[in-house]
Amino acid sequence: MSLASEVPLYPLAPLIFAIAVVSFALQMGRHLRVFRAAHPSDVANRAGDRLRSLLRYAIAQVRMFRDRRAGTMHAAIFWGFVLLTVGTANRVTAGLVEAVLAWPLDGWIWRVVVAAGQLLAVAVLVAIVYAAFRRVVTRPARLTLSRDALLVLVLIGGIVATELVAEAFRLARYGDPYEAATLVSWPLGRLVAAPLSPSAQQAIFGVTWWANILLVCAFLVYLPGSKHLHIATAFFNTAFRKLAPRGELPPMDLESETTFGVRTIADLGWKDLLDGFTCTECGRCQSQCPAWATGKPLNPKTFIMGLRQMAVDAEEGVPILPGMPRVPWIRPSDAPARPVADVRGTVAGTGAGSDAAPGAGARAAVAAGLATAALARPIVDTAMPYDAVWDCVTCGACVEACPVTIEHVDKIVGLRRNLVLEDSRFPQEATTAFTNMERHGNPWGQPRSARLDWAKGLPFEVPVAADVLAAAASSDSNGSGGPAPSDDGGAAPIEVLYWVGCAAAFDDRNRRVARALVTCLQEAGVRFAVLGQEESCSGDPARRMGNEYVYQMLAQANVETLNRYAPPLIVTACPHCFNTISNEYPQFGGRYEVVHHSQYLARLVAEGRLRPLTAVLAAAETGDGSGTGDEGQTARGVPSGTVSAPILPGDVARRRTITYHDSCYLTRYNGVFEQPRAVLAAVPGLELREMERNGRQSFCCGAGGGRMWMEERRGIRINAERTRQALETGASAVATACPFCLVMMRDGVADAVAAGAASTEVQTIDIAELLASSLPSSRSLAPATDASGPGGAASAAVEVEG
Amino acid sequence: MRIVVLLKAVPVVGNEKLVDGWRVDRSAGLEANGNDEYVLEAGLKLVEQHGGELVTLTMGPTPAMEAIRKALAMGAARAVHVQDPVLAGSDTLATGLVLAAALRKMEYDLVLAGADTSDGQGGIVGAAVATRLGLPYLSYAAHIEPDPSAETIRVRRISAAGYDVIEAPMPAFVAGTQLLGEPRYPSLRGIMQARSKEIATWTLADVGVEASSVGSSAALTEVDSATPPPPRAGATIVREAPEIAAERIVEFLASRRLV
Repeated sequence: MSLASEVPLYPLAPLIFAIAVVSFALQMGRHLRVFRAAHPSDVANRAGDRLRSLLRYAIAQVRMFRDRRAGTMHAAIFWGFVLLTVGTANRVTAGLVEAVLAWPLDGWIWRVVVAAGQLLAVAVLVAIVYAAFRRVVTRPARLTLSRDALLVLVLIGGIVATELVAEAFRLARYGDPYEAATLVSWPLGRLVAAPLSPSAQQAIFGVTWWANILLVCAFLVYLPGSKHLHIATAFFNTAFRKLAPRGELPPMDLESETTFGVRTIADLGWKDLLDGFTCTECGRCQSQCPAWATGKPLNPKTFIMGLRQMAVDAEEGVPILPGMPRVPWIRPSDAPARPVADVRGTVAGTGAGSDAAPGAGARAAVAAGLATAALARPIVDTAMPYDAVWDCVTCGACVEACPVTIEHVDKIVGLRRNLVLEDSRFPQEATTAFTNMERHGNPWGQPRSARLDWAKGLPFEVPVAADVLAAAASSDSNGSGGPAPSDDGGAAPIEVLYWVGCAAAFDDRNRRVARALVTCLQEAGVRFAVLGQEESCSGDPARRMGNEYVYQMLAQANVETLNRYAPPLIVTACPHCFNTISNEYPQFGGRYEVVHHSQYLARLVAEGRLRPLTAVLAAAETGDGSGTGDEGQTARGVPSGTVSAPILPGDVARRRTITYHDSCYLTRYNGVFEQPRAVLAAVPGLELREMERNGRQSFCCGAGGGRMWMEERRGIRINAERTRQALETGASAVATACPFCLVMMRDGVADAVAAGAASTEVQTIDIAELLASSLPSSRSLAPATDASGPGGAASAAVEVEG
Repeated sequence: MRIVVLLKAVPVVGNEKLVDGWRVDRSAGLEANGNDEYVLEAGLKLVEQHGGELVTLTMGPTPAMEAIRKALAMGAARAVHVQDPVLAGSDTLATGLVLAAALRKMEYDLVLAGADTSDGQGGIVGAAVATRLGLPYLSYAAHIEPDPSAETIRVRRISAAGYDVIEAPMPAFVAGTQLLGEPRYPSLRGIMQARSKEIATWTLADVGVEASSVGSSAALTEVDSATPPPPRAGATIVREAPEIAAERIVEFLASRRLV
């Protein structure tokens, strides 16, 4: 066969296709010229991880399958497109691909390619119909129905359909040695084309063949300006994704930066702009965002699309061929910021920021012929409303949801950094938190001297690191006289440094968690100590509210303190401290072994050092109403309203149902999923009921990203929504493993009780409190512990998963 | 308009410590007095509106520098710091004397000061300075409105019944309250710029005050003793919705036979 002889005017086809390819390349080149105006992004490292990332997210598309039907649909189109590309390449090269692939193995490779291509083409058509059906009929809220989206579907559908039809008529007219492999078109040709005359066959073949090629060319020309561009950029975006821990915000040199944080798109890295060009408006971020779900103006999707629009605006008027004069009839400086769809509230069209300092990026921009006025436009109130910047809880649900690894949160914090450090522009309430962190080393504004008040009245002493080391030093200098530490084999005097955190130190409710946790540590015989007055806020709230200056002050001081003690292990009950100390302190030279209390408690239980024996059962009478300060507290931190009793076999009826709320910074950011559940599973009498959104898909309590210290004025309250989800499980208690979650869920439940939506029996409780209340020593009824180690009746009650 | 703000560095509220002879420990951890920050904010707004320059004037030991830097970061153009070892232990009378002497060496249309300070809480230094300089004294200001062309200043002064509007010719002395409005939070940009701003350090000799009239030996008042207030009893916090909360509060009060 010979395409050249079968297709009328064939020589024009490669020519037109070449023009389309050049157009595509030039348009992409113009996008790249905006990248030059942005900051560098460091992607030249960890090649192996980058390749894995590409295979995982772009080829295997693992995140697409979280929505199984959408994932299958997308996979069909993706693989169909790959094979389609092979066919197109063959057609515009007059059969070169076929010639190469048909050469080995007696043509069997080509047969497989053709057969797979045919089947996938049908799959693509089915998928396209499904995709159109979703956009037009079922309309999931996350999808944007735009002309762009429909046009892309029509183009893809048209390309595939014309290929199938053209092939059917070609086979009917000319035949082909591989026609048997043409699983769809060959029978189709026999059915439809065979009855027609050869000239009619030839005419329909010619028309559909040319329609196919022209649609492919149109697609190539259209693609760079369309949201569908992800088919070209997703490979790069997944390979160039952030490989640092997700909870590590980019470092910032406060001494040498010319602009603090992100004001314009030129202050972003070019990878951030690539994020914009990779977004396909699928809206998975939007559907997971707790701020959007509760009616706030923040929409992660429109933010990223807005950034892309700003990049495109900056290109406007730039000649398609480098070096050509600027197009005079387009004046980008007058071009209004284009509104983005799905925006709540008003996006004020502010003028270009004239005060932007001309940095290296701006010079590069001028050199590239970019619209400097568009480049100097502030992102805030163009791509994202000012209020939305502060609505973000930095929970990372959007980042977790994005199939093409777009990073929203780091950019939003970048915007906050600019607003705080340059303009001192932030919600009024944040001032108090900032000032408190600066002056008192904690956002509550409590005096440093009260840091250990939570430990008052415990039946044992909570050791302070400075005292422990001083005692160890003096007993060393006393020679071998006193009770030498040698019976521990010369072990470090401090086995575990318990990082209490400000919440547990100052918040009444969380002080009970601290008491419960040290009760567990004491019971397990852990040689622990706390920093006491030497501890300061980890800086997480300051950092996530954009106040890098205060964060760095706190972090540096804490790193200095911690380095002095060099603890072998740090345990903390606060996921925010946990994330910051383990992921962000290395930026200041602080490298420590840090675990969350859920991990450490699970380990103590698994090792048999803690034996939860007493069942925690449903309360016999109404609980403490969860809102009366310290009144419900007992000396051991055991919450009232929960009855601890010895295990009675078959006492299932009184099992207490409990749901567990995953903290964003524990689970999503740091992957700690199993251990808190292992602790719950170890406590006899509890029955866990999962919420629909759990684990990495958890729904924030509303307190992350410094929102703990800001008023929530827009939309409904996030904690109310999460409480609703928790109550939906029917559980009579909500367990948490984060001090902020505990406060938010407690308040959410209290509001629900007041509104009659929850029984007064529903409790909010930290996993450490549950564990502490089931320890043998918590009630005199408990059987004596078997000191001879694991085994026997005592450990039979302990069950640990994984 | 030329404005001088009297700025005192006080121990961080809640962390006050007394050392030898019931003296407030000023060796470290000082911050700008809260009320002074409010008048500084008001002064900065006036300069932003009417032009001119705002200078802060501080009398205090070396650790006061922290508070001065913050004022510069908030937007003050420069600072004067009167510092001399013999000043330690000065009472309010001596403080007024020194500040008035320093002001005689400065140019101003308006002197602003907070109504009182969180450590001493005397609230009389401002009046003392105004008296020594013969300036109109406008106290408890909730709002300041100058008329630069007429060279007058109009102030809303809080009174028991509401507020009085009082007017005086400039130069004048205004003691302000927190009703003037929340002080701004300094931006990092401001903090960076503050590093290159001038802080003039004046000794007692520079302002022309005799050493014999200041310090603890010259003080006319003496602290005999001081005791911390008794700790507050534990609080019961009611978090329920208004209707239920009201019920709970009534129950609580009834249980104590208070209603």
